[in-house]
Amino acid sequence: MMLKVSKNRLCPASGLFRFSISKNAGIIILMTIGMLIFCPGFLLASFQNFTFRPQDYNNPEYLSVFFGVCGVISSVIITIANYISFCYLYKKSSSDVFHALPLTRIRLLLSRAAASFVSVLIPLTVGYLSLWALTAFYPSYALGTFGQIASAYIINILCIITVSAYTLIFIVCAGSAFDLVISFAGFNVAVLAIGSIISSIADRHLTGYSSENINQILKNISVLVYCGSGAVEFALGEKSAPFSLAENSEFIFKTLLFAAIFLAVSVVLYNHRKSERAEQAYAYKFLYAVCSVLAGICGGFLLSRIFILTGDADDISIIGGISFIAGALITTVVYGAVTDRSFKKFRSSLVFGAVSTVIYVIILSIIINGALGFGKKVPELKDIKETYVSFGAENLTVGGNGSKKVIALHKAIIEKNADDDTQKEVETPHTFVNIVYTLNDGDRIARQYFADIEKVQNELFTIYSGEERFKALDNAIECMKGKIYLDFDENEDNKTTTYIVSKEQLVALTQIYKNELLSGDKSVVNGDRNVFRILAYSYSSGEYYDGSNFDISLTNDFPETVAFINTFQVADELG
Amino acid sequence: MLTAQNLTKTFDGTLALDGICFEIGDGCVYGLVGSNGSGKSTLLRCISGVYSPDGGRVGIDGIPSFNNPSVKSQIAFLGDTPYFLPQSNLKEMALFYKNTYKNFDSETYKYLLSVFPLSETARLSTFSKGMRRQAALILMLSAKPRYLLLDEAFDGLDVVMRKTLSNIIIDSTGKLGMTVIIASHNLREIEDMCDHISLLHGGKLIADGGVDEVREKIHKIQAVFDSVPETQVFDKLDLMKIERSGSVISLVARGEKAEIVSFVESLGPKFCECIDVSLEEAFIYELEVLGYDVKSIEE
Repeated sequence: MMLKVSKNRLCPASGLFRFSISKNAGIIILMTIGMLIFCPGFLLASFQNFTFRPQDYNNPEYLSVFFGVCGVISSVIITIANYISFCYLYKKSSSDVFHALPLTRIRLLLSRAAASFVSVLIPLTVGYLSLWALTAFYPSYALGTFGQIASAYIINILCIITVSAYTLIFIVCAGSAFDLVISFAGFNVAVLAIGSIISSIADRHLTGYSSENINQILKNISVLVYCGSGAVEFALGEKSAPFSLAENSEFIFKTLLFAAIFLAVSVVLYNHRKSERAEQAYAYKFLYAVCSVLAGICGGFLLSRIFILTGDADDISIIGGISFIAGALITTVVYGAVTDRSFKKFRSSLVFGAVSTVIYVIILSIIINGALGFGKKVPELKDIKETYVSFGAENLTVGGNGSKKVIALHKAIIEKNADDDTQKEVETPHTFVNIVYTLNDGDRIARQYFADIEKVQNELFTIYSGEERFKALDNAIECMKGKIYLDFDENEDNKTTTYIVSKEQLVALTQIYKNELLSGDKSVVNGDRNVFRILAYSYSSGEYYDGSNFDISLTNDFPETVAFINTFQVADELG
Repeated sequence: MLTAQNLTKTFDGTLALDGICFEIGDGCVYGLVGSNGSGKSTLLRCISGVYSPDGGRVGIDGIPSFNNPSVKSQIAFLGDTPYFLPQSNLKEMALFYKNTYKNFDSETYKYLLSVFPLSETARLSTFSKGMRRQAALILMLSAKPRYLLLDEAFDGLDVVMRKTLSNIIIDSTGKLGMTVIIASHNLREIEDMCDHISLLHGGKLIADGGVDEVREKIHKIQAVFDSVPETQVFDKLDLMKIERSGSVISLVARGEKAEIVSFVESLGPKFCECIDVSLEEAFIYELEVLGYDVKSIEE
């Protein structure tokens, strides 16, 4: 009797997928329970303790937090799940079993990756469905519309797919678990270190560079940060963009593109992966050159900073240059010696050190020459949702016409060449001007200038005395409830007096201040002559209401305002 | 038919398989023997599609096995170290293979489970080395492949289990037409059950054929001479080994027995005898020709 060919129509790829899911069933159930504890469990519990009701806001704040937390956790879990799914690659016996299965490499990769993805997708879907159900049952809490929840869900999934595809590249390249850890951590940490170095150089040499821009740099050079930081920003409540597929189209397009590219690279690498590489350091061999160059840049930069700081020199100086080259060469040679446990790689290490230097010089040149117009980039008014600006003691968040005034200030700083190097001695009064544009798609453009006030005094005063600022003060007064307190700080005497005021008194105070401001000297925007500070806040039924929105600093040029404050009832007098 | 044509595989510049050619028909037991590092396991991995050949081709009916599910579904490979999914038991592993091999037969699985007394629900990580191999064999045999590749199949099995497995393999080849390829460095272990046998050394196939065919190709002659001829006289034979001890000449040569005996007798010995060699001896002589013997290794 010859062996009969089975009529079973089993597809091994789907069979393996089903088996993998059933094997993961326990973990999936646990993760789903965890998700249900978070949503609806945690959210239901927190409904009882809301100080601010979510409907007071026009954005889905809790959806943002939910999205952020889910995004970060699911990205970490998908990475772990992928490792578990593909750890058979790192042992010869297991590699033999899986590679002998009647599947093509592509199908094997996709069926295992899909099983990991679905294992994360199930609890995530349950969580979003719970959130949607909560929204239906508790409409007053305005957790988000169905469309917003669906959009957040889709964006969340896209982030997971991209992170998954990215980690797959390292996973299929590695020959062992140690190899994976070294190559994955080494590469990604080195990329982040390079981002920090770029930020450090830009901070000193790039016009308009703000410390907030490091996020943007890291997003542009690190896939993990690109996908993760968005989620983290949402989770920390720093960002609350409308969850709309249309308004996040650029992010969606980029993540889809990245996911497709990474998946294609993973497939190609897996197809070319030699099974005999199991248990061998394989990926690291490829990454050695990359990691060596990155280490060279880090080492060179570190040594040059030490010499520059001790020698009071500049990045672009003989000391800076020589110390960088020395640092890069020492680092690559030591790196090569440690990796190889010998000096056999001495020559190639010198080459890598030289490459590090060339790359550093290119980075430095680009930054010194304006980083492709970075400092001169001013967004269009139509693209701006709101704008934050700070100078002197003043900080203000405005929209519409206020943004227009900030754009005018921004353009004036650029056109009048009002930005100066913070390291240089300046004779005229200067102030740090921070501008952060929040665009309609949720992205932020942040700039910082060390501005010569004399050159942009008109633009600064236009903002300082603008309606937007007084409207913000009015809004702050409007939000106050119960007893309203006013702290009056006299800086010269280091004295603070607390008054109890009414809303009407605050409105009157604002009006007097406004009149004095408009009729006074524009140099008040300097902030360096401020001697008084007024801060109003309120209590209602034991709850504290933040007073940061009513915060005015005064010079001695506001006698009527100060005199009016002195007519208020001192809190101590009331007991 | 399982065929290999000029199959080559290198590892970091080292030639592991060097132009291997063979044809293996259906329903036989094929023994693959060789020294340590001769390329037996590499050859099995190439056949099963685990390794991609660097040169030549290997597959079933002319279709390469690497990355080809239709061919790989006809092959089951059990490596020298059985692997099971973490925290799994035999039942789960059976489900794993059932989901991936079309021919996996639950009845055969149950039958084999009755032959090999193993717990279906105990964790495989708690099994001994021999039990783990038994478990792996149950799964591979249940997959009912057309070609079953076993690397060091009897390693870790006790005498009873070896005999049982041997019977099952012979039974499977006879009843199902399954071809079993067994790689081992221990010739005696597989000699009795193999129909066909190959010797690998240094990545090359140095002997190949039916068990009797391989053995009968090599002959050992002992002859006593009054006047012992120079050893160069015997160069006309396909000589593998020659030793002279006083008036006695012992030689091992390839070729037809009658021709060799006739040639030696033509030299006028007082006594001439042809001794049959065992398969193990035949392979030892083959390896000695290639410089792989105890003496040369000690040197």
